Amino acid sequence: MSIIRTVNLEKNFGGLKALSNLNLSINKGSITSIIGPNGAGKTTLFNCITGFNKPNGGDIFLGNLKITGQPPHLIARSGIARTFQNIRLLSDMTVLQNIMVSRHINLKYGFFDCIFRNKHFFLQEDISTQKAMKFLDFMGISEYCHHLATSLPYGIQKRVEIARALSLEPEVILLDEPSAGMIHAETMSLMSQIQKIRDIGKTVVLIEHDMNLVMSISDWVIVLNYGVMIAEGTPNEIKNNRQVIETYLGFAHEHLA
Amino acid sequence: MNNYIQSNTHLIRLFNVLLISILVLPFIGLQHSATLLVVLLVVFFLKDYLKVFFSSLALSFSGYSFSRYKKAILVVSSVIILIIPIMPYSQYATDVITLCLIYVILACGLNVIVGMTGLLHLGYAAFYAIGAYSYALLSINTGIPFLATAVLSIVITSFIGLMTAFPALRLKGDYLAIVTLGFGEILRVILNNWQSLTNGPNGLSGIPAPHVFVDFTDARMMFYLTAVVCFVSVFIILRVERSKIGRAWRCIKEDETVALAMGIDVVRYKLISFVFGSFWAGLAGVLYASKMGFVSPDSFTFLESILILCMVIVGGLGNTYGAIIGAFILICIPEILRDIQTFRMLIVGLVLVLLVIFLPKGIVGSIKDVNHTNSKS
Ligand SMILES: Nc1ncnc2c1ncn2[C@@H]1O[C@H](COP(=O)(O)OP(=O)(O)OP(=O)(O)O)[C@@H](O)[C@H]1O
Ligand SMILES: [Mg+2]
Repeated sequence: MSIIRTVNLEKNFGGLKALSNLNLSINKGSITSIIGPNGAGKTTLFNCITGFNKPNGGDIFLGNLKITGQPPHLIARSGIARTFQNIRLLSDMTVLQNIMVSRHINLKYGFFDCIFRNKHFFLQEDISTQKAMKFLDFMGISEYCHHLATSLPYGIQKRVEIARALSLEPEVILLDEPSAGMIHAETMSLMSQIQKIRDIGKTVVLIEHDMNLVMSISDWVIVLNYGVMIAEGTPNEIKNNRQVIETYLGFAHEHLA
Repeated sequence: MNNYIQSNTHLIRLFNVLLISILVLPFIGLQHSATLLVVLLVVFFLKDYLKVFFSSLALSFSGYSFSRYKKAILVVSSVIILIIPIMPYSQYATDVITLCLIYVILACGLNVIVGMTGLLHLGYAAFYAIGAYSYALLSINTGIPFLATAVLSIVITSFIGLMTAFPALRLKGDYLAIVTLGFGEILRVILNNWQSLTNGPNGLSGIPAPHVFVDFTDARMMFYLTAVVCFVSVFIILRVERSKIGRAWRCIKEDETVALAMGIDVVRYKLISFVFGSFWAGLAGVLYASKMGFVSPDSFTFLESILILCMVIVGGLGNTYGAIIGAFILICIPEILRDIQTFRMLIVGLVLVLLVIFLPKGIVGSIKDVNHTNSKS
């Protein structure tokens, strides 16, 4: 069953066709990887799905809900969370505070509850803090909860971003190059964490250049090139697809070697 | 994402700063626009580049633990302030401190908008004026009791805040500064020229003192009333700051893209911030008008807006305790220096520039920083 579906999606930047006529469908509860050379339009696809880029044509559906052209904060509320290709943690804030920011939509209290600090307020805040800690634990970084977020090593910051997206409690989570800049050991534990995210019932979509990661954990792989989907299939099908090998995998293998 | 939502480059910033200063030239004269230019340049540029100086100075702070003594410092200084008026020969001091407390409310209110949410507001004095004039006009011309007049004035101020913010918040960053600045100047022109309503430059006099069960005509009574109101205001602001609302503001200030991705309705929370900030300006205006018994456009000039902004910056943008200290410093230093009239403002300016250079995160922010580095090592 598909949870995200695009129909004839188009996105142009001036004369550049960043996405053209894209029809894809992402299955609920799966790990789907989007791969392709630099500038293929992968991030642009994420930006369109999350509302940061307005598509020039076509439609995007979340389940049966049409989310084309909706503002980003409403899309986030409908259940799509994301991370960014370049880390965007809030400096001057601890890891826990960073996660608490993304509890926003799940904290149900109003202005006057803040001022009077009633039972309801504390209950909501307590639950949220516990959940935030739970997600940090989930990503294996709860020991850093009181560190300033931007002072941590790169690999940890990447995890904080994922924990932050998780704590929105979304249905779908979009990860833009989660393993970029990680050392091998970190990537290995990241792989099992991504699988854990799927196992708790979330749909994971990731953009990745690390073919080892992509091929070992994906249920489905989508290959983009110049904004066009040139292939999709299971990791095995993609590995053996001639066109994919020519345009991307060959290059990636050389690159890795 | 990287080439998509780029923050302003320094060059664009420089251009905007120059543009603002030139645009306001006809309204506020050469001297004031030069002041503005300097303040803006300091805010936008020096902050980033002078961290080197700061780190050397910060070393001298090490060893103090601000947060550990925070409660003690707060209690002691509050007690000192509260007993000053009952000391003999303290009438002058009482007046100055009452004024300080009014500015504490203003600084904390503006801090919500500029410090926490990151919206550069250059016309805050206009909202202060709206509160003061609303109270003056309502209390002189109608027979409504004090509390109702006060509430009505604050509601009017917040409402006008909402009406200004609505179009202004569609503009990004530096352009919001131009709109708020323009609003401040327009309001001052109106106050000066709508003779029949505001009595023009001569201002309004004979404004009744507050009356809640008793009359607050005595300066001491007025002081204690202001102190209570000020305390409650700071209390409320701190509570809102430490909730999901405050966190949303901080996120918007630092990265609007992240805020949106986290489901925060950025425009709505900017609006809340602006209206919430205007609310305190209205309250301070009511206190001011009812304490002075007289209001005139001279008290609400552009320089007044800048003065309040300086309080926020000195204390450390975004820090409520810092804004309180900033208000005290910027009201008390000129009073202490009253004897050397001519050089007074020069010294105040110098202190300001030095503070910004050496403590770029403001007084409280810088001490906090040092403690953080210490506690980790
Ligand atoms: N805001 C923008 N304005 C103009 N062009 C853009 C914009 N965003 C992306 N592009 C262009 O669209 C194309 C696709 O970019 P996108 O960032 O989606 O690539 P990508 O597949 O994520 O690449 P990478 O692997 O390098 O992250 C690129 O040619 C890029 O230069
Ligand atoms: Mg990309």
